[in-house]
Amino acid sequence: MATVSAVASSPLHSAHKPDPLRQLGIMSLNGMFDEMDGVAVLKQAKEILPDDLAIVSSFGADSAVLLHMVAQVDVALPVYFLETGKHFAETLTYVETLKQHLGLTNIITLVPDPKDLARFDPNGDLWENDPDSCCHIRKTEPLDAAMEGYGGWVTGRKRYQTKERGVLPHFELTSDDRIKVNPLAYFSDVEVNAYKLKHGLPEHPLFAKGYKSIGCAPCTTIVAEGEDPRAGRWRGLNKKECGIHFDFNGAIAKPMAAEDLTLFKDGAFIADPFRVWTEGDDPASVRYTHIPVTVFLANRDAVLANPHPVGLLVSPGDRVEDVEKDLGRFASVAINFPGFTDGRGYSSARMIVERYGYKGEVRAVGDVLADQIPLMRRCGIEAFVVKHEPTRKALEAGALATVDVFYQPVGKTEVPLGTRPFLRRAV
Amino acid sequence: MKLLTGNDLKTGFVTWWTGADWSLHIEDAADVGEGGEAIAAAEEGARRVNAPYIIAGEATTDGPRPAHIKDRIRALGPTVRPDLTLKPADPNAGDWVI
Amino acid sequence: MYKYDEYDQQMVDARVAEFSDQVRRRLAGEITEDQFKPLRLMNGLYLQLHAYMLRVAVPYGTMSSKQLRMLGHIARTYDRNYGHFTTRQNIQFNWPKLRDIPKILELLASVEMHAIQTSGNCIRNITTDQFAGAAADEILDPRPVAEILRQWSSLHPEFLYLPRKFKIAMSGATHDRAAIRFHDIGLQATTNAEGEIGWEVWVGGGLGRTPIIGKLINPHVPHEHLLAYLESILRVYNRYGRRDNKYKARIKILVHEEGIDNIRAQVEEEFSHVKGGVLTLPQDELDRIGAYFAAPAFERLNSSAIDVAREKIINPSYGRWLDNNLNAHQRPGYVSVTVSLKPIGGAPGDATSEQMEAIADLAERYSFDELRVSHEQNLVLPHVKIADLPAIYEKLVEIGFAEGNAGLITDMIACPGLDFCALANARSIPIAQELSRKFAAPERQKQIGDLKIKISGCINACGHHHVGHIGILGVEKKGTELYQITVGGDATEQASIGDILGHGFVAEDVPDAIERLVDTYIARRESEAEPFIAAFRRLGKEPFKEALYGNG
Repeated sequence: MATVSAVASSPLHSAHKPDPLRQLGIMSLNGMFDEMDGVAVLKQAKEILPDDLAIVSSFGADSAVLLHMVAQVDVALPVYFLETGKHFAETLTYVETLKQHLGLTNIITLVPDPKDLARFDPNGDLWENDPDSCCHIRKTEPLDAAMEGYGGWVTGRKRYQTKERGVLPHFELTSDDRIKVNPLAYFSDVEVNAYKLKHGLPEHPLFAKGYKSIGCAPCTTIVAEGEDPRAGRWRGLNKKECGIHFDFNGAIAKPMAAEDLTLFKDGAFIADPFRVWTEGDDPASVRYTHIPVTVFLANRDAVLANPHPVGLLVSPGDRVEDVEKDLGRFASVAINFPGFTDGRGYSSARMIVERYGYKGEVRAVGDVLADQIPLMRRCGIEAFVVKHEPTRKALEAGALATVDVFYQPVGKTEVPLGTRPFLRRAV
Repeated sequence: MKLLTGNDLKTGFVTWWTGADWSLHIEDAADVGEGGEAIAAAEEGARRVNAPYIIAGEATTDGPRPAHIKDRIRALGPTVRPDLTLKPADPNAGDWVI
Repeated sequence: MYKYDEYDQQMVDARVAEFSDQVRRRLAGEITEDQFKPLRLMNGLYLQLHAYMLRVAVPYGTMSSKQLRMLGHIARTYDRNYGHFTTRQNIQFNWPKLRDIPKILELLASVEMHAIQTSGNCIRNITTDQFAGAAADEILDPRPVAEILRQWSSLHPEFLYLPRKFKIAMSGATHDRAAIRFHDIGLQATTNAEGEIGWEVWVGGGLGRTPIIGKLINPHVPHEHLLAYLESILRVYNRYGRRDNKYKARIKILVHEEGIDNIRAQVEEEFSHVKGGVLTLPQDELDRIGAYFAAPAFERLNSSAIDVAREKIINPSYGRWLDNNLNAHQRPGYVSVTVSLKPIGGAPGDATSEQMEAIADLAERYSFDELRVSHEQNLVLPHVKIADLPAIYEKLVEIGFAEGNAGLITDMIACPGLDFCALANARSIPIAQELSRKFAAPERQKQIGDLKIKISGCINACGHHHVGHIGILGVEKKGTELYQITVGGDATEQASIGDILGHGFVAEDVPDAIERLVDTYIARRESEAEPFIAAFRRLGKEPFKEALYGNG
């Protein structure tokens, strides 16, 4: 377990978690604020989560912007700094600089559990062999322990930083049923720098030396001009996010084999936060599980009171009409194709997406094969749990054979072609 | 006797298992005994045959003949188009089929 | 005729590329036959008794001479020099090689043709009256709407994996020549009390092992809402059609089990969501598509009657052809000509490459470049000047398709049967050939008059035996072929399903059995003006049963 060095100022009140409906409410705040108005986003978060909101800062190249906003809202908001033991000396200096400059009164330093270090990284070279595990013991574990007590936390993540973050919203739900707030979600590199200049914020000492995204010393290199700012992190390793930003069931920073990355979404295979419903699961307490429609209907009250993020599994024969008004409760809807020749899922998907306007993730599960995926996409399914190896290869290579001129209007992401009202192409 | 038949994957033509390979000619077919299913699975897996299945046959002086009319027609070709059968020049080729 | 624009061409080309890739993956072992089969069927490719079989769509039965020539070219180059026209206005090639399919599809695409959805559990080729746009009894030309339905149904992502196949037929004329009561959906053009043209929608008809006459689900759907209404029916069927039993998966069973009123209510509920939305068909679009089907540049001719009696004296065969193979045209001086693909002793619906090319020449020269395929497996020259008939006839004599038997007893429908089909239990073509020879005499055919014989080699009823005035169904009993005879079927607006009168017959006995039915009809009819089906309805089945089985 991680130790918390400043126990006195950490609330650690695990009792009150935000209720699920409030969580859903916060999701609906996305889009309500001006994209650049991070201060308003922070104020809103503080209002919804009084005494229940923490900031996590790496005190890296861009951290001053978020912390400046925090200072405008409340200098006493808890700001956690992960002292991984691998930071540049300049970073540690910078923590003090910003604290003084902004007048922050509640910076809390988290350090790894010495027992973990002794056991897993006795020589301090774990980063070299297994960076995922290094992140896990030096970041994820300490942070998890600290965050246990908070209903929400604020990050400085930005959409532009990597393409995987392209759809980052202001407010998110995380796997451990907390709210993640991203005031800088829409900030670009240029806007971050402009903000720093405008407010005369002190620069990280390494920034001028070419470090654009600064993490632990061993895993950070200089980014070339024009390169993705985060390209300097874990350079040469096939790793884009450190564990603390993944939001699934704890298996986060443990290295995953490629074949375990079964969820194809936004152009890549990623680890799937969701698990399959199994006999004996409790609808009132499961988390990150697709609850079958029949189970949901039989246990509607329990599922609605379940505080955790859950999904809905729609199988052939299920009447989606019966779940229409509750769809907003689910973070994901899985359309089950038990055999690829069973086409009922296409109708279910269209009704859920087009007729009921469901905005969450819609995924296909079951017998998901290359030749049906284009049809599923047209019916509104955007994520695919794929096990068939040739299909995985085709998806990864972007080599699905498909017809991309559509005669019939279907779905909400197609535009007419030429002067013909029905003829379409995907947006 | 039991015969193993199917269609060639690339051409679709009717083929018969000879014991070592596939032939277009029923006369080359071999009795597969009880081993037909294993051969069928292996050959289909190797994509040397499509949709193989085992049929009952009988040995005659002219060679093996399928027991069922459907497979006899498969063995020769359409009865209404002798010119399209495997033996277009032989007017009596189809005598054993029906 | 419809002409592809750049998008139509792109779409068909992309489909060719997609299917070619599917073939490649099958040959490379990336997908199994179980995975490939639904994909190939959806592009018209079967594995039949002797070889692969490719079914090419002739959308709503309309094609140009260039297209028919291409079909002839494909038959010659990649098949065995012939093709088989089917009851769904398609053509089948019986011997293509899998590895040649991509090339064949490319050639088809080059003349705006394809094999999309000619099989598989999806919406099939839309069929219609072979005289559409020409027939004198027409309310409207159904082809513009048929083309719009073709587009709507082509690669519709929601409806490619239905419980079972789905067939739509339409008739724009008062007389139903497209068997719409025996389709999953039948559309009959109609005028309502306000004088607006729209569509009667019939649902749940079909043949196969459970023949059912379609039921009227909506008496009048205007053009603008037709797509929305059909999409509503399809969605109800896709969601609730049975998938547990292949033989109970057609919409006819759903309608039968749930009742037409219940299905109508479900469709109306769905329609209430869909109606008025993006599927609303704008009049502009209907007009735009309709322009492709504008009447050709007909000459202003006097309505000239042919003196058939005189022609008969000069050339009796020509006279018979004039008597039987012409259909009244909308324009004076023009007729539609049925080119009978039923020569005496031939295989119904088969044509060689040379015959296809010759007929294509005739269409180009005498019929504004247009051709039709009929569900009765004949070809049609839709717009022919009466003055050109002798030249056409002469050419047809040359190629062996001049039989003046359209609508007569030798103009039979027959499926390929056990000679070609993997599903068949008995052969069909030899029965058709024997009957054709038995009733070949022109006087005999004239005496019998309008009599439709339809022959299927198995219960799936591709030969429409249920709706033959006389139907013949091949079955297998103890390893031999046996033929059941039904009487009293009718595929038209007076739809009825034939009755089985008793035990089946071995092949040798079928022609005599049919002759006894025919003789009974001739002996019992009120006059020559009373056709077989009318006499059967008046007399009931007893006399015919007695003719087949005696009165023991």
